Amino acid sequence: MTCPNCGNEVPEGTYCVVCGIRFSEGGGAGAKRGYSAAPNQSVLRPAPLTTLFPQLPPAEMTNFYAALAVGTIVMVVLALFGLFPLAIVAAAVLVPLITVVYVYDIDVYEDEPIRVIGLTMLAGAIAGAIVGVLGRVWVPSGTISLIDQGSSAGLIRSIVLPTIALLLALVGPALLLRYERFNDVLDGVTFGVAAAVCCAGAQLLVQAGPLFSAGLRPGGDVLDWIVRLLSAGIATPLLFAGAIGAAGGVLWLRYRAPVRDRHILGPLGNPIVAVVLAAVVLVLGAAALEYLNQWLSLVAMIVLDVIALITLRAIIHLGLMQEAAERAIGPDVTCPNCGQQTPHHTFCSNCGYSFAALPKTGAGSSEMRRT
Amino acid sequence: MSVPPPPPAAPAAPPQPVQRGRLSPAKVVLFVGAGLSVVLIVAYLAVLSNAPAADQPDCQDQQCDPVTAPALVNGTLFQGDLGWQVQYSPEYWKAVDEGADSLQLQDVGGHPVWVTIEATSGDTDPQALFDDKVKTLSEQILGMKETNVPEFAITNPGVGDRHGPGALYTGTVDSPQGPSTPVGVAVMSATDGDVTVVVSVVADQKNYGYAAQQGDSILNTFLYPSETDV
Repeated sequence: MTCPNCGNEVPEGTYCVVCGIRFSEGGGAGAKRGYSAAPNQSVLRPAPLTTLFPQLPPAEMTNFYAALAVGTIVMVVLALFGLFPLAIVAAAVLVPLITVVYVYDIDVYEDEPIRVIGLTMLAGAIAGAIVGVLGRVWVPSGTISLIDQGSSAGLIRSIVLPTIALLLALVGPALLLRYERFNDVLDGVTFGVAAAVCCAGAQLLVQAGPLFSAGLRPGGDVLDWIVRLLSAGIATPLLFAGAIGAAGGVLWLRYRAPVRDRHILGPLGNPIVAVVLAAVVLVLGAAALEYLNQWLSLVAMIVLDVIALITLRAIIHLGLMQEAAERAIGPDVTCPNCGQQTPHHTFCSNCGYSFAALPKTGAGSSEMRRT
Repeated sequence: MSVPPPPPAAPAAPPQPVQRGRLSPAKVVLFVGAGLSVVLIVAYLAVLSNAPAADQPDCQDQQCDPVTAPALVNGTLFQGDLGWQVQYSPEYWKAVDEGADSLQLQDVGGHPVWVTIEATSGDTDPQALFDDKVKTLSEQILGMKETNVPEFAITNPGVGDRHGPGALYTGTVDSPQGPSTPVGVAVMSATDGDVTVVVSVVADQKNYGYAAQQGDSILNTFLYPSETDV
């Protein structure tokens, strides 16, 4: 049959094996497209895990959500007991820790895990530490910030520091851009996300330094702290990951994708435009934290998270679609996601899962992903 | 004639194993929990080792004696347009902001301590002025909450010789990059009918004892217009 979306002759099935579109019962009009890394979800659904960890098998998703929930509960319980310094530490390490477990679990870069992901995360952490130090020495910090409310201080905290964080966090991924073996858009996204969450965590830890010398219970309103911790430990790393991961994906799409696919995003695919947009998102997040109260800033951060995650999903989706280019349809293979037989190409004809999003572990998955 | 039973349905094809990661479901949560635990234990030890020395007075169940302020010698006089005045020792303080009826003093001894005095006409209710100040500060300080630490308790709140609302608060300085310094804040307000004044003392929590003493030495010199005529 002819796919109504990509126009290729493809085998009958629920999904097009070339472009991943879902055929309606009539097979033509009304075709519906799912998110390539999780075909049962829409591209417009801001699900954090399928966005930040696109190579995570669907069967693993619940476990990672459980881990995120457990970590969040630990953070909240620490705050309930007034142990704010420990709660801040939990907030800083939770998302980076889950990222580490994801990288280990999926073995994204099994040949050189330490050199590739480890150094990328280290670079992100160094970037965050630098921004944290700048945040403490460059503008009035500590008690003096309550007295010296210079107009420039707020602008530096909400514009300059987030922009520096973005640029520094992209250094690690950018260094990997020259390696031809990392030629997928997913590589750029993975490096960007890994660096981003570590940047956010390290920045928080360094900024919170004085909190660690004031005893276990420095005092304060628990509810305010819980809201702030959710913002610092969940919303901020998601925002960093969405914005910086998207910028990383665009860099890869522009410099690593086949030439004919490099303009698939239009002007948004220009790396400079992408970095500027990422900076705008981070600046808006910081401005919300600087100028709004705890509750409003959390709401604003969630809205920005949704925007950043959907943008990142769109880039991942396009990246996975782009990898389907000019590949012949092969013999039937067993889909590692649904276990059904499917003609070998880019997407499973039964469940729509993208083989490009497969982890490298598992029999044949590497070959299925790369051939 | 009986109808032969239908042949048994062919058994369904066994489900194929789906793609999974290295870790079993329980291990994912376990790894995150274990990692978090290790980090938190290290953080716990680090916070304990850096914690300020416990200096608890032996007055948990009774009122502590109020802290005594150092005597003022060769003070610098500041007079507000409304007729109030206050003295401070240049040995300990410098004025970082002087308005017509406001004064902001910063400790010059290396302690992050600030005293802010703001006066307005006497028709302003001290409680309203106090509430406004607390509201303003609470918008800047994360989790600002009233506390009653015995050694720093404000036993007789007021400004100068006049009594009024007063309380001690704790909280943490916050910024988009993260919370940072835990602070102690004392706010007091009073009036003589002609002038209503609100005073705030802001300090790092570990310097709050020092701040309370130094701040008290200034407030003891505060004179209302009705008192300066005497």
